[in-house]
Amino acid sequence: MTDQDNKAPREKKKVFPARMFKRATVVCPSCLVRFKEHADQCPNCQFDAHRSVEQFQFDPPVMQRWMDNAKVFGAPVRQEIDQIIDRLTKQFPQVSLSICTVELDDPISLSEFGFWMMNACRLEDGQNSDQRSWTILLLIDVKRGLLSLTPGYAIEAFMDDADWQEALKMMVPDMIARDYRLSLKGFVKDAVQLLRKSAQEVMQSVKHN
Amino acid sequence: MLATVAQAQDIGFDVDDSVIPQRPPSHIFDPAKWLSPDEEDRIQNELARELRDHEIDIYIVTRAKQPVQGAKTYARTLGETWSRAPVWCVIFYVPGDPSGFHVQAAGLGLDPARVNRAVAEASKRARREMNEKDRVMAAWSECAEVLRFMHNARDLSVDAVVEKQNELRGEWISKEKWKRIIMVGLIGLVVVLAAVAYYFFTGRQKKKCPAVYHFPDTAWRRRYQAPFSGGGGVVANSRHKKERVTVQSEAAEKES
Repeated sequence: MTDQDNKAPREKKKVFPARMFKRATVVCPSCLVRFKEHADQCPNCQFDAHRSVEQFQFDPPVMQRWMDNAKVFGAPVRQEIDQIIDRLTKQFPQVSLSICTVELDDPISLSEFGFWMMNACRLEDGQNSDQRSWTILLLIDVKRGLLSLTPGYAIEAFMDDADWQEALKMMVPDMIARDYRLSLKGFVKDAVQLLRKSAQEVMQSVKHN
Repeated sequence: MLATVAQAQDIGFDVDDSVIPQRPPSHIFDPAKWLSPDEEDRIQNELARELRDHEIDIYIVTRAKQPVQGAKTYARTLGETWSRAPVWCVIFYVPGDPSGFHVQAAGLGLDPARVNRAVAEASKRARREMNEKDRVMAAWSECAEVLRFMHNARDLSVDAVVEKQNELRGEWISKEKWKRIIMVGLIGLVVVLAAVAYYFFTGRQKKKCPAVYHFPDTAWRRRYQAPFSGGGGVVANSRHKKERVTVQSEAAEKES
């Protein structure tokens, strides 16, 4: 790492289009169809936020770093993972990572659930709504062995779906072995690397522009 | 009767032309019994010294009659078969043969034509002696001398050639070594220059990620009437893989 530090975003006034970086297309969290344009409703399945609220009619929790409903991460594991996440947030102060374990039943779509959580969950004390849009939510359904990633609007522009898909796939072997600690640790390390890679690319793109 | 036995001992024997006799333990093969024991001893000592000191293997061979292949061929065959030294010489004589003695010689690295000329000259000098025995004695002495000279000259010239060759080889190796060093140095320099050029003249510098980085602001792609996130399509499923693994292990159990 160089000693050059990127200064606080408030000094940067320029707003770039998301498609300039990694967000050329958008995906419907319900039908997972990819579109070039964003819309109020999915052109394919008419999915929107209202439908998700109707689907998940319970009190949304506070969005925190750890939401271990399935109780698979003990305190020592959390401490260990926290150290890596702290390194991530130190290098990328805007970004926050939330980990939520659930035990859902079919046919609940995990990506829809993630969409609902990201938009419905209450803010943590001291957190503002902008910070929610810089959050990456990792959902782990331990009952069905499913994983999903839901980014906020601000950070999604810098996340290549293929790279992050690969990072999720790397979790699978340890998930099958029910070694959630290793599974998550690997993902968080990968997340740090992916953000670094993205930062380098963004710096180049911004420089050329 | 004793005289007869004594006479019988003095009578020579002949050898089978088709068989090359074994090398005699001395330098003399005298089946014709032409030389006396004293003469043999004297000659033997001198010829042994010639071999030891000068690496010239000389044989005196007599036969009761001419061999069927001819004196020259026979003498050459014997010399090539018996020789233990780089240079050999065979003086062949059939007692009573009006053509006198024959000499054949050769040497490792010696020009055969030059050898033949030299021994012919030596034989000519030897033939000035009064009787055949003296001529044969003179022949081996004269031939030994010329062969010694030629052998020494060859050694000297060979040594000189070898030395010169080594010198040239050394120079060549040294040149090749320097060529290699220069080549490697040039390639290294080209690589370094290319790297420098890449960094300075293409205008690109590899930037590492800063210790603290803020992503730039982007225009959000708001959708589905959602305030903070439009959701994502990044999902993974460990369930199908687990089922595959389970089916495989069950199949393995059934087989066992």
